[in-house]
Amino acid sequence: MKRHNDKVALLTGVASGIGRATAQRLAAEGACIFGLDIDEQGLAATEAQILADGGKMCSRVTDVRSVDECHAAAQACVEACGGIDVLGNIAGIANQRHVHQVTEEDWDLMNDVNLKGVFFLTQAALPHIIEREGNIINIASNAGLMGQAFTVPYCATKGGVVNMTKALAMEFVKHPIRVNAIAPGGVETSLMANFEVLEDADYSLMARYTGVRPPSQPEQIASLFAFLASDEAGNIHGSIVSADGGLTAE
Amino acid sequence: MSEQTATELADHRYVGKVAAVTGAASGMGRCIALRLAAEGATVFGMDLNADGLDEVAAEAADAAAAGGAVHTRVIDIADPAECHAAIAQCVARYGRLDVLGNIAAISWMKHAVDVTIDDWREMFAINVDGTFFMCQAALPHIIESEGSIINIASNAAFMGSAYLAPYCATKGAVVQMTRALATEFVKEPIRINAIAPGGTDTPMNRDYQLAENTDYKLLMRSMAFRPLDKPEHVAALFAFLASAEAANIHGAVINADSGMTAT
Repeated sequence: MKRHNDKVALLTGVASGIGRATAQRLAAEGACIFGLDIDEQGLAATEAQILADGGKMCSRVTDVRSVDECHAAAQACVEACGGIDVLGNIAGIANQRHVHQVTEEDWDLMNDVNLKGVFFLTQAALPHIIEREGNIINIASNAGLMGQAFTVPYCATKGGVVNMTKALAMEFVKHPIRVNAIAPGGVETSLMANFEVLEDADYSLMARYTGVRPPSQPEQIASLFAFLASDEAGNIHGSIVSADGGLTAE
Repeated sequence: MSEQTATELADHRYVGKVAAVTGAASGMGRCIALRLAAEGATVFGMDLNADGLDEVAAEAADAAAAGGAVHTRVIDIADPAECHAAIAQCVARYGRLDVLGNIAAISWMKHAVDVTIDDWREMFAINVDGTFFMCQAALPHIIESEGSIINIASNAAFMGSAYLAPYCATKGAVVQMTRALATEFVKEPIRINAIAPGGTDTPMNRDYQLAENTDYKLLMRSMAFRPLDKPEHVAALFAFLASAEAANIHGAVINADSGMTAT
């Protein structure tokens, strides 16, 4: 089954982790990938891998914090690939801070990447998605559904992604498109590997949002993405799909 | 992931697997039974409706090429002893149990003041007792096979809909039962999830009985903008969710309702 044959997927964060695994999975199912990331080297490595596997991919170094760059990237995708069937907002950053340590710069950076970038790339892609009757998938997080100590800005942005997804779903419920989010728990990615835990963190608080099961693999998020973005999920719209090994069931 | 692996995963996910499915005679249960059989599963289909079961078993003949089939047992899931007996029979016959799908349910609309104790108990016996005791009976076998359980909840578990107090209560119970079971068994190598469909084009919805003197303004608050969903879509989600492709999805309640619960 090649559910994404001849579909065009515009994806952010494809230089590593969930973004790279998603690009590889969709390409393996026949999609043409238009991949964005700020990390030029990682982006080139993903493209080389996909091309070597016989897939189709174009890349564009993009800083999703810039509204102009978001619009230019969507335009470039349409010019290169003819349209947009799937938008995957995957790029995201995370860190731990005590509330009193969060600077305005920290706050703005987190919001610009995780929330503003998602909104303005969505704004740029929407007319093309509607034209192709396609769909949008945002990567949220279990942190968008649970209150977690020491990650207030991250929780706020991911909560924002969750409700942005639902609000978009309502605004476009009369259009033939679908808008959904995936809320992963811990996933073995560079974001998690580079995650710096506060030295003086209260572990009894962190234990409440640390999974009993081991972290997910990025390929597991990619397989959910590939299903959700396919016509098989034709009735799934405005949903936040948790994929977190049971973390948010508690 | 290589192209071959993606293809393999999508096409042959249930070869050699045994799936017990309630409500298999019609609607979502029928579609799920047929979808799993088409992907190679041996399906043990259960329902109160014997004729419907026979039809589904006959329809599944096409699945033989994939190694799949639908076998049946008439059962009243409101009786916990029958739930245990049916699961025991399934395991005795087919040697294992990989997937349990709790799909059977009833629904009707009534003004709350008109609901009798018998109405209430019947709704709970089928929608809640049946789901719980099927889980209880199946769990040891699901743990042995490292399989998964999927309960069908409803958007009614999340929306307070007029004239549906008993139904909303049962589906809310299914959601929380799913989450509690997921936590209780988080250290076991199994997965327990729920699907919360919206209005789906099934006999249950086609033959739906509205309450007398319905206030349509209230009814419209819980009406979808999009047309009724196809049961085949619920089956596609079920087939994904119960497969190894969804290995990290546990304790999740997945809304598949065309945007009904987004608001």
